[in-house]
Amino acid sequence: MTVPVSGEVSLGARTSGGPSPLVRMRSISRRFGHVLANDSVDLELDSGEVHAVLGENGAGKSTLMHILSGSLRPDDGIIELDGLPVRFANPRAAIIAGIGMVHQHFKLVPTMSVAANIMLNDEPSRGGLVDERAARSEVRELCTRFGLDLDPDARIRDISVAAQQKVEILKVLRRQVRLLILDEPTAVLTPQEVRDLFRFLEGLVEGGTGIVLITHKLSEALGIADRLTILRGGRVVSSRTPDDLTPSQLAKLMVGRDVLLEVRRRPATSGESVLAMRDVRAVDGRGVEALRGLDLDIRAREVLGVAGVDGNGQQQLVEILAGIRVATGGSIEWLGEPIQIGSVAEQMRRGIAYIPEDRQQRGLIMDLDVRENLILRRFRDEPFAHRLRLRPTAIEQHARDVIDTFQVRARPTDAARNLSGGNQQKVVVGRELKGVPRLLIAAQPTRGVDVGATQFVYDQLLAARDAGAAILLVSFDLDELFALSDRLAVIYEGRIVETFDPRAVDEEQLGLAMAGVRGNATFA
Amino acid sequence: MRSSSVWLWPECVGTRPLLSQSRPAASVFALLLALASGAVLLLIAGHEPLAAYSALLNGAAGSDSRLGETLMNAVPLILTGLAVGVAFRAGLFNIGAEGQLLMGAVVTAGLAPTLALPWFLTLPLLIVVGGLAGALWAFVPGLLKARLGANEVISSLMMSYIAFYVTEYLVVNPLKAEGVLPATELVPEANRLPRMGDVLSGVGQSLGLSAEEIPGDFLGRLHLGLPIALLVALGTSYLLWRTVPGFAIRILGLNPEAATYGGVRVGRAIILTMMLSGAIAGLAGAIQVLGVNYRMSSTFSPGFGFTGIAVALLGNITPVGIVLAAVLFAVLQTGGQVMQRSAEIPVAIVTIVQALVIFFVAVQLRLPRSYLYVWGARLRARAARWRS
Repeated sequence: MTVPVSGEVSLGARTSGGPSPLVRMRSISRRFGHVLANDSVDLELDSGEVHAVLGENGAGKSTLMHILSGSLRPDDGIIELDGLPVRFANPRAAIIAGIGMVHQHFKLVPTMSVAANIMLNDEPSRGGLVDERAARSEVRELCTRFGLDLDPDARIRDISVAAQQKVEILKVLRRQVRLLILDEPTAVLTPQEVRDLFRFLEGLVEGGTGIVLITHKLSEALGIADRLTILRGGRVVSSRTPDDLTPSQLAKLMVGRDVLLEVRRRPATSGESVLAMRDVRAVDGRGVEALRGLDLDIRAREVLGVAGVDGNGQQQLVEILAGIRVATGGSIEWLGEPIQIGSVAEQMRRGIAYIPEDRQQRGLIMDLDVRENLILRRFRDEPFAHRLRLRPTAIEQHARDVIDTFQVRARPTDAARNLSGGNQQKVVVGRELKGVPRLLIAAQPTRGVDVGATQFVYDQLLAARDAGAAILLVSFDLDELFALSDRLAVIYEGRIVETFDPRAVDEEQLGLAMAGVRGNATFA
Repeated sequence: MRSSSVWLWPECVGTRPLLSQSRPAASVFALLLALASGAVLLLIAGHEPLAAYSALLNGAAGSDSRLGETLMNAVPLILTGLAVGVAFRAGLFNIGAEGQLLMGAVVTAGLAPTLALPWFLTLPLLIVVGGLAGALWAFVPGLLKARLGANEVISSLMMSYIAFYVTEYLVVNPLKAEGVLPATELVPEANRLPRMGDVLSGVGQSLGLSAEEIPGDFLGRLHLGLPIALLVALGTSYLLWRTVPGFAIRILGLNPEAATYGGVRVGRAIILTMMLSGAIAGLAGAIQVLGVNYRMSSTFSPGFGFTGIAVALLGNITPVGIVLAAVLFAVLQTGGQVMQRSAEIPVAIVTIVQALVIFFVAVQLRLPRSYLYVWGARLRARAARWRS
């Protein structure tokens, strides 16, 4: 029996005696269509501890946390707060009850100030107008209380990603939450920023706040968490303290089988220059200069990793090479010859393959089937077309070939929408690596892909390298960059600021370069 | 890396859900709902719904001349439906098919009385010229969209207003025939599209059949435009699903960013698709002049171009669906006229039913399939709990 409190939170009678944890989720189930995202999940969260929730993509961790923070309702199961069953009608109800979530993709208004964003929808008012002075001073006071350094008047679009994250966190902390849920908070931060964030979180924990950290980074979870809960296929497979758990044991728990965390690769035997970019410039969608004189060289048979915080020109770099965006200045040499990049088709003819960062938005057409997606970039060419006519048999045959070669678990006629993330990525990788390209642009090739498929993608990239391709790897995952790169270039504010030998640099140095702190280049 | 390419796609009018969910059942369901709602309205107005609908059906297909009339009225709707549909496939909302149709009609009507060539030259020439006029009219919004990002919904609609007043001017002034009517000169008999009855009896005679076996007035005023429209439907279908440009059109409509990635030159594709769409609409105007009206006047089109939007929506944006939807609308309109005369039920009820069909199609599109699924799942879960 539950009774409504303040309209949106329903409280019930205490069901058990004794000390109860801050939050107890009991046999939570939630179904989406045919997928059981959460299958009677139990979870206990205490105040004053960091609880890491781990799992592969689709393991159900986000669903579970969305249920806890009120944006999804469970089909079944009970949430208890201080031993009392509660039911949240929406995220606002959860926050009133003291549970707040910071989402992976920030929900901020870029053109508005820090203070306005923090106060959004709950502004202090005077005479029916927003009292901006009060808002500003409240934000200042919050910053002092939590030891954060933010300018209340700065616009969101002008501040760094790490600062935006602080705004998101303050937005939640302002509501005096007792449980703070963070969804993949380190995905877009440099190593130093991650350390700052964790120090900040430890401070909160000491103050008695409970913290839930959704993550798939093993070392991170082992480093900071007081307790770990591992989800697989919608169920809890383990809930324990980290103790002496090793990363590979943890990976095994997540995936359900042994995982090779090391990438075995032969040393690079880099060959002739494939691409040389000199002083290349480009603007972003708002007309702001995003590449400001970028220099870059890639040779055959090597993986050049590009490290950097999101938004430092990676997208423009990739799009210029793919032929999607036009450079506003500089020169580009291809195989030693100066070229003008005219179109996407021209770049494809040059032998430039491209695994886009966003497979659902750019890499695939979700409504089309596997066959059609596999000719997405080659539908004009023989043998898939003869003059203007498509040739269904050749298209079908090609689909079967790729499915075989790249072990895609799908039929040619399945819609891309119905494939798992890993299989979708295999379709993209298969399409781009059928026939060895001269240059492969791999932009976050394993984003949102499970451990098994990640391994597969790595193998394919290295096989392409060994077969003679030059590979430009753009990624935000430092482990990935270290595992695959023969050289590591750091991009900062539209320039390559340093180039490292990955064997001779540690995360510390790389992080400083990513943050724009100039050191001495160790490798050219 | 968040994508920054900002394509102002007509998300507001919802072409995307239409392209990604093909569900003919939804159209049939919408039709049934609309007819049921129409029945309620008829009851309120004091009419017998069954009698009204049977009068309507009788009026639309009660005799072979009435059937001919219905099919004749379907021809412009098939073509404008295809015109709108082809643009829809590329994610473009060509709301200006009406203007393209008018331009096709006026150019054809202006040229037809002056030509004195053999029929096998005249007819194709006139039809092609009509199509070109429509294509030219659609080129403008296409170009504006491709080069400046101007919303084609607005620019093509505005082009329709221009077309409306340009044709008005032409039929009142330079092209006006002798007499009181604001209309062009009649198309000479030799340059008109032959009636199906004449065509069939001609074919019959050459096969040695007697005139009694195939009466010359078979299917009334229905003319050669119907097979032409069906051929265009077939051609559109082939283009979209069997050819390279068709593949480009479809991927552009489903996901412009992926189409760019696939090497489609988006600007060029937008312009060409708009021109194709306009050509089909212009064709509708030309055929209507040569087969039905034999002249252009200021009351030439009762809004074929706009009805074409409804036809394309109801037809699920597939050529077969569009042909069926056009015939359905023609049945409602032709039968409605007869119903008004014979059963004294205002023809307005037919217009309401037509609007309701589209209304229900649109409502269902806005309800994602998953919603229905979740409701179903909840109901089943509740039932299971109740049983246990």
